[in-house]
Amino acid sequence: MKTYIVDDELVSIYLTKHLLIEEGFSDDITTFLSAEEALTGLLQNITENMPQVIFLDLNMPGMNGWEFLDELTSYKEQLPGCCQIYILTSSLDTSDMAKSKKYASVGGFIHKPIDKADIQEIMAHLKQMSNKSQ
Amino acid sequence: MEGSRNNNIINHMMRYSLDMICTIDEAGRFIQVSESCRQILGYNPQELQGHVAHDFIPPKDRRTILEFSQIVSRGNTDYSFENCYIKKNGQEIPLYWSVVWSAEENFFFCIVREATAQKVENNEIQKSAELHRVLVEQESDMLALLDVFSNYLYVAGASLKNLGYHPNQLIGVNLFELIHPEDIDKVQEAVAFTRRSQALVKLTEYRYKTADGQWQWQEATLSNQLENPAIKAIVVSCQDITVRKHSQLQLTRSEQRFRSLFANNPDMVLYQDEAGTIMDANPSFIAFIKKQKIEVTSRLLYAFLPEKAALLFKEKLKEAFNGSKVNFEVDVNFREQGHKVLSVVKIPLVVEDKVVAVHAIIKDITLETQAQRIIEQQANRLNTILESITDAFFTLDKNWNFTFINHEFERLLQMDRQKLIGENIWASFPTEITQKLYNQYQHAAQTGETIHFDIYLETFKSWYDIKVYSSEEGLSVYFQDVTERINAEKELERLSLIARKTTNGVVITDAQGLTEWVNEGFTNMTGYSLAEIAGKKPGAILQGPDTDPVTVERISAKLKAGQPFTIEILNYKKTGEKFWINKEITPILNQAGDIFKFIAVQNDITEKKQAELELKKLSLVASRTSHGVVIMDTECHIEWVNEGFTRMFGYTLSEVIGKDPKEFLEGPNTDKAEVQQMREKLTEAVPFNVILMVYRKNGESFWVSIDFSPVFDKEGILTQFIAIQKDITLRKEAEANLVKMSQDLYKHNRDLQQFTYIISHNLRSPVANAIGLTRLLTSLSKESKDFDTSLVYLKDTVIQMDQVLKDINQILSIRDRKNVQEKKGISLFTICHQALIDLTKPLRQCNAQVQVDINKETEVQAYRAYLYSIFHNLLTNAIKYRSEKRALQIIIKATRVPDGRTCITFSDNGSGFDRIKVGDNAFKLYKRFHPQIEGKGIGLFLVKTHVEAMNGQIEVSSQVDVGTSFTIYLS
Repeated sequence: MKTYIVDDELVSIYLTKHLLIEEGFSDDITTFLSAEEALTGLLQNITENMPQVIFLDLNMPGMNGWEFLDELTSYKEQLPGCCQIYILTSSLDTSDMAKSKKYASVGGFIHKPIDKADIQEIMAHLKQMSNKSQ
Repeated sequence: MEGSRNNNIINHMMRYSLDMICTIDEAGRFIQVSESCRQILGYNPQELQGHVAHDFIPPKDRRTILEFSQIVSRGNTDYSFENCYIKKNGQEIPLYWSVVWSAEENFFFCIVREATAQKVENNEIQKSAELHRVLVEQESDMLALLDVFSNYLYVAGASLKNLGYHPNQLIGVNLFELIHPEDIDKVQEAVAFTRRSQALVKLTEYRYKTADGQWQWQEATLSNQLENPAIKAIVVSCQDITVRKHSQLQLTRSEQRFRSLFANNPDMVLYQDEAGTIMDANPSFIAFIKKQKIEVTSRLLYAFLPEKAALLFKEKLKEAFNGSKVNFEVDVNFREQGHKVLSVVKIPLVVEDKVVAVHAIIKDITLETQAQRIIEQQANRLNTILESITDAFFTLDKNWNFTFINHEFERLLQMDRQKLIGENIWASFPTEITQKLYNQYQHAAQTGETIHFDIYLETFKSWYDIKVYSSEEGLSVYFQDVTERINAEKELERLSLIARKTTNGVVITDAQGLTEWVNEGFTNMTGYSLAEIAGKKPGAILQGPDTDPVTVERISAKLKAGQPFTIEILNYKKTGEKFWINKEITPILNQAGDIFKFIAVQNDITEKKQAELELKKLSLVASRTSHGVVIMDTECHIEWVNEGFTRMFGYTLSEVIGKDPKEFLEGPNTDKAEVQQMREKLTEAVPFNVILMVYRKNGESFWVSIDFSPVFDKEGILTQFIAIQKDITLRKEAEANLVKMSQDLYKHNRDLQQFTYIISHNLRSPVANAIGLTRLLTSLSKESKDFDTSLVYLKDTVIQMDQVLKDINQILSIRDRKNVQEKKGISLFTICHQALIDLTKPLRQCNAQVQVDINKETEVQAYRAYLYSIFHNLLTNAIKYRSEKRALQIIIKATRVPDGRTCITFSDNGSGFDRIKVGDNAFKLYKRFHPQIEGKGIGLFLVKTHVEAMNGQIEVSSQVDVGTSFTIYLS
């Protein structure tokens, strides 16, 4: 499945990407170093090639994760949906977790570093979602 | 011889001449008169001699004699005239006078004869000339001629008529037929004697029969004229001596009477002559004097009297001898008889105009006098008693006439009792009184009952209390003016009504303070009835533990002093409830001026007292409190301020009284909105609080918290405002500090939170990465490319972690140092320059141009290190975020601002950033706005921290692709 990774740190991207590939989660992974770039990319592929999964970091300079989500919400009708966003952050702040639940498109909240268990969980979740929609 | 012969002749002449011959002296008195005067005038010579000739002349003729005397005395030797003389029997007879004055012998020699006219008449009676002569010789009322047998031959005379006889009636009648039997002998004898003699025979006192059978007393003169040829009869001339007889009889009788009186008079009677000799004294006198008659007569009265009395008697005797009747009383102390009171009357005895003796009648009035005196005394006593009756008193007889009126009556009714005595009561007073009183008096008179009543008389405008007693003589009436009493009674009724009904408590006590009476009001007020408190002292019942003993003492003292006074005292009701009363105590004096009652009027002043106490407390509070207390009226004019206000604001009461506070308390910094709100709240008249900045008299401003309380009276009407001011400057400052502190704290906290958040994230992030990488490394083979990449990443990550820790340390140490180090005056220019020198290389590399506009003297209070750090960071940033399109230009300026701080501006023409978008994040930690450019995002954070650590301020403005400008304020 098509996956986006949005994070301002190269190291973090590297780690996430590596693990996703290793777990066989996805082979189509696009990375963005800023939320603005990710948004641009999304909108370009709006009718086709929508990513199914977006891994989103929260703490980024410029547009941060929340702002990205807000932007995304405004394009909701345009986006065909079924785009699950998983927040991937090093933040331990409980309020971030609570806030994430407010966004419908957010499928989950993962603490960095992402590990195998997380990925499998996501995969299961995704399968569930697709079963539902079908 | 010849002389004597002549005398004889003269004498003869004098005796027998028919003409009257007389001598008259120069004074007109007869010296000698001849016998013929009897015939002519009817008088005998003795009767004429010595008397004034005039006396016999009728008044109308007296004049001629006067003339005559004058003429003759002038020298004419002889004169003749006619006049009339009055005969003894009253007849007037004309006389012819021949007068010769003899100067040597000093008398008139006169020959008088009957005038010719008369003589003619006389001649007619020639026949009885002799008769007339005889007649003239003796006066008579009747003349009769008797024959030898005593029969009447002729009767004539005036008295014939009186006797009732006609003259002719008697002719031939025998004399003795007319004589009273008892007197016949006497008459016979007289007649017989007459016949025998030639002389005139006087027959005295016989009774003659009148025509109607009565007897008349007569006397007669008989004359034998039988031998007289002209008469030839016995001439009897008789006179009615009835009167004389009567008088004689009377005289005799009166003499006898007198004698009898004299002798029998119980009073003492005596006769005195001018010398005082007792000529006669009656038996009573003699008995009184206790002497014999012989001893008394011819003795001086004074011999029997004590000296003092004798003098008085002498005096009175003299008076009596002057012709006046003397009347006097005298007290005489006789030696033998003792003290006697004598009433003496001395009557002069006048005989022929001469006082010959004094008739003294002496009455022993000792007893009478004594009795009189006793009676007088008793009368006086009675009068005194009657007069002393304090009531007005009068008595009426059965006819309603006043018989006695006392002085009080006069005084009360203002009527003269002298006028009223004897007057009828009903006539003496107006109808009104009569109407009202008549029935009462009548009732008393008829029933004999004693009547007692009160009555109001309009006439006198007074009330009278009248008692009427009936007696035999009539009515006795006592009355008093009781107007005052009635009025007093009415007053008392009114007062007692008031006293009973008033809601005030009224207590009447006796002089000792024991209760005699209380009114309803008292019972209502205290709960005690009269029965419960009678005979006890009010204080004992009403006072209780909380009653002030000093007040009780004062009451005691004032009661003794006997003055009216007012006092407030705490009393207890019967229920035990306490209440305050205001007592007015008045002593009542009796007529002697001693206190015999006290009256106390009391009202419940509990409320008032409580209000007073409240007020005292409040005023105490108000005066003592350090807070300012202001009392204003409803118009917000100051009525009163306390000391606290004066201390707080500096204005005294006199300076602010009557003014509105806003005139002087508000100032430039006073919040007008608050003031407005305050005014509005005042109109609502509710309690509220306001906090204002106000100004003292000296212009100082300070914060004050004012509590307003409206004051209402009993009806709920607003009367005043009370404002209590508290100086809250300190509080305000404290608050402000607190606010500032909490703001700081909040900010601090927030910063800290943020800091914490950021730190945790920035620290966490590399840690998370490190964990991931190490996990990855373990799964990678050492030979794979990924393994090396991962290892490099790991190294970077760990270094990054370390850096974060360093940053933390640095930041924290800045914060800490703030409290430890002291700022110093640092030269801006020097520091700036140093930073520039240290960054020479990077500056040259980018061809930067730096313009420094700092005064070399400018100093700021700062930490050298911080100041350096600031410059360094800002320069570094300017270099890092320069624009590619143009060469970097930096301008550094330092200026002084009005509040004393130094303003440093640091501007560049770099790439700038979206100021608005960045917002507050400009100086936030790890916030970066240029992702492409290398940077941790702590530079500006540090700058800000440094600036604030030196109590400065920093601001930034920026425009994308134009440049950025920082403004720093340092003190």
